[in-house]
Amino acid sequence: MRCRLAELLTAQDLVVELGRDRLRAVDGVSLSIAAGETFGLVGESGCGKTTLARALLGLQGVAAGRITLAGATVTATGRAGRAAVQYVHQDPGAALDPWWRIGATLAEGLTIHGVTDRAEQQARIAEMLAAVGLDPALGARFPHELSGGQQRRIGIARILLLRPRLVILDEPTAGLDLSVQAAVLRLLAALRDRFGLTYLLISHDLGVVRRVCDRIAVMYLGRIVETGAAASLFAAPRHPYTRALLAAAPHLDGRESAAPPLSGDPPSLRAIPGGCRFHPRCPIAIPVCATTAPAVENVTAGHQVACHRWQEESPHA
Amino acid sequence: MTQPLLAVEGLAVALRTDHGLARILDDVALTIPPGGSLGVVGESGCGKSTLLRAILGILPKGATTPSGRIRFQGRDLLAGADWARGRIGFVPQDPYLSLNPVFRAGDQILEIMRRHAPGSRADHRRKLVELFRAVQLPEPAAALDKYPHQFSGGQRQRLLIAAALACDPALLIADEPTTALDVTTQREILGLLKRLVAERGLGLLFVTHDFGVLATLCDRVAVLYAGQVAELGPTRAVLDTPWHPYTRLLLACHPDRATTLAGIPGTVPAATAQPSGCRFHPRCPLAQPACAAAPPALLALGERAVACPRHEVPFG
Repeated sequence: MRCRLAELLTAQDLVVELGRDRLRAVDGVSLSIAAGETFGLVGESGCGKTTLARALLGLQGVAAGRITLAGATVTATGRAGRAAVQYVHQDPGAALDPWWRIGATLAEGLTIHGVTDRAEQQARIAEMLAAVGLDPALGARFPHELSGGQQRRIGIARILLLRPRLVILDEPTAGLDLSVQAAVLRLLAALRDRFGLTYLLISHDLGVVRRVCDRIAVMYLGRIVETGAAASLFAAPRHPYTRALLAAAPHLDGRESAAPPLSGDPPSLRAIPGGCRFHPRCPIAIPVCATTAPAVENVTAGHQVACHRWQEESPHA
Repeated sequence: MTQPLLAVEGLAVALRTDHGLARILDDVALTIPPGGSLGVVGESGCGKSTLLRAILGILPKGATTPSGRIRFQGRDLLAGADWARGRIGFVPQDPYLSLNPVFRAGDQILEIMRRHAPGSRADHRRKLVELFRAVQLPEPAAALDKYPHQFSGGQRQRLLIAAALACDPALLIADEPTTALDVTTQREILGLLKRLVAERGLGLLFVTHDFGVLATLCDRVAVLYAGQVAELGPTRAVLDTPWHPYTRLLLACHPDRATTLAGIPGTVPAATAQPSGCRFHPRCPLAQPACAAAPPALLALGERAVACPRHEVPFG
C-alpha cells in the first residue's frame, strides 16, 4: 500500500459546456489525483469522460470551477501552464502520421518542447524506445510496419519523451488482444515506477481498471456518482449504477449476475433527467430521486457516493 | 446421428500478398448441430474473420479458391452458395458502419427480404414490425421509417439482428457483435441473442476474442491459433481445464484469472511465415525439438480435441 501522497491535480466543481447549445458535458465534477497513483475514470460512452480529460489537459475551456496542478491554479492558462500533463490517444495508430518514420514523429514532440539538438534527440529517442520494450531500430520504420501492440508502445514513448508528471491514458488497451493487453498494462506499471508518473486512466473495461487502478471514479451523464479506493469500490459498490456496471461484465464461469440488467440506453445531454440523473434507469428509485439531486456523502473516509438510497440497499453479491 | 447443420472439413484458405502466399486457414474442421452454438475464439490475425467469410462466400479478392468442404444442411457451400443466401443470417461487428446512412432502416432490410424471402412487400413489412418487436426496438412500426442516425448504438445492433433474422435463417453467424458497445448495452444484446437463438432453434456461430462473452453464450468452443484449430470442446470443460498450452496461457491473461500481468511471450506469426511443425512452438513453454519438426495432429479425446501431444504436461 502506497502512503498518502501530495495532490498533483485537482478539479473543483468543474463545469464544461460544449457548442452553441451549451450542453453541459461535465457538470460539477470534483476530483483529486495524488502524485504517484493510478486513478481510474469509468463510465459509458457519452458520459463526459473524454471532455473531462480535455478540460484537465487545458484543451477545452471551462465554464466554471477550478483546476490546480501541483498547487498552482491553472484553470484559465490553456495548454501553456500544463506541459506536465500529457495525453495518450485511444488509437495511437491513427495518431501517427503514416508518411513519417517513427523516429521523425518522436523527434517532432521534442522539437516543439525545446529540445532541438539532433544528437540529444536521437539519444533520448533510443533510450525511450528501449524503455517501452522496443528495438531502437524501429525508429526507421513507418507506422504501418508495426503491430497494434507496437503502435501502442510508440504512442506511450512519444508522450514520455516529454517527461510529463501526469499522463492521461484514454482506453489504453481498447482493441488489443488479451495477451498484448496484459503486456501493455505491465509496461505501464513499470514505466510509472521508473519515471515517477501519475496516471489518469479512462476506460470502460472494468477488468482493466480493477487490475491497475488505486482509486476509481464512476461517471454518469456529466457527474461523478461514486469515488473510492479500487478495492472497496469493487468489494462493496454503493451506487446502483456502479453495481449495474460491475454486474454487466461477462465472467469466465458463465454465471449471470443477480442484479437486473439496466434498461434503456444512456440518456442524452440534450434531455438530462431532473433530480438524480440516473433515476429513469435505476432499479431502486423512489419518488424523491426524480425531484432532488442527491448530495455527495461519505461512505467511509475516501469513499464517496451520490445516491439517496446508498444506506438502505445492500450490495448484490 | 442427425446431420450437422454446418460441417467444415479440411478448410484451407490462402491470400496472395506482396510478401508471398499467406496461409490464413489450414485444415480447419468444425461442426454445429441444428440448434447448437459454437464460439470461435482467438487473437487478431488467427483467421477468425476469414473463416466467417469463407462460410458466407464473401472472401476478399486475392484469396485462393478454398480447399476442403463447407457443408450447410448437407450441401457444399464451396460449390456455390447462392441457394443458401437468407438461410444464414449474419450480424456484423460494427453497427455504425453496417447501415447505409442515406436509406431508411426499414427499406434496407426489406431489400434483403425482397431478394431472399417469399411473400409480398406488405407481408414483409408486417413481419419486420414483428421482428423489431422481438428485438425490443422502441416503437417498432415507426422505427421502419427512421434513418440509422436516429438510433443509438445498441438500437442499431438490434436492427442488424433483426436484419439477420429477416429471412428465417437456420444458422446465425455473429462477428464480435458487441465489441463496439458499452458493457451495459453488451449485456442486453447478449441476453437478446441468447433468447432469440433458443426460441427459434437456430444454430449459432459466434466469433469473439472475449472468453467471458463466450461463456455466457456458447455450448462449444473452438480455439484458433495461426489459422489452425488448437483446441475444441464443450465451453465449460475448455474454460475450466484448458489443455492446449496456448489456451492455458491465454486464459491466464483473463482479468478473472490473472494473478500477474504475464501476457504470452512473442507474437502471433505472420501468415506468410508460419513456423514449421506446431505453429505455437516458438512461444510455447512446453516445446521440444519434435514440436518444430512435424505439425501435431488434432487428438480427439471424448467430446474434446486438442492439437498438442503434451497437453497433459503441467507448466514447470
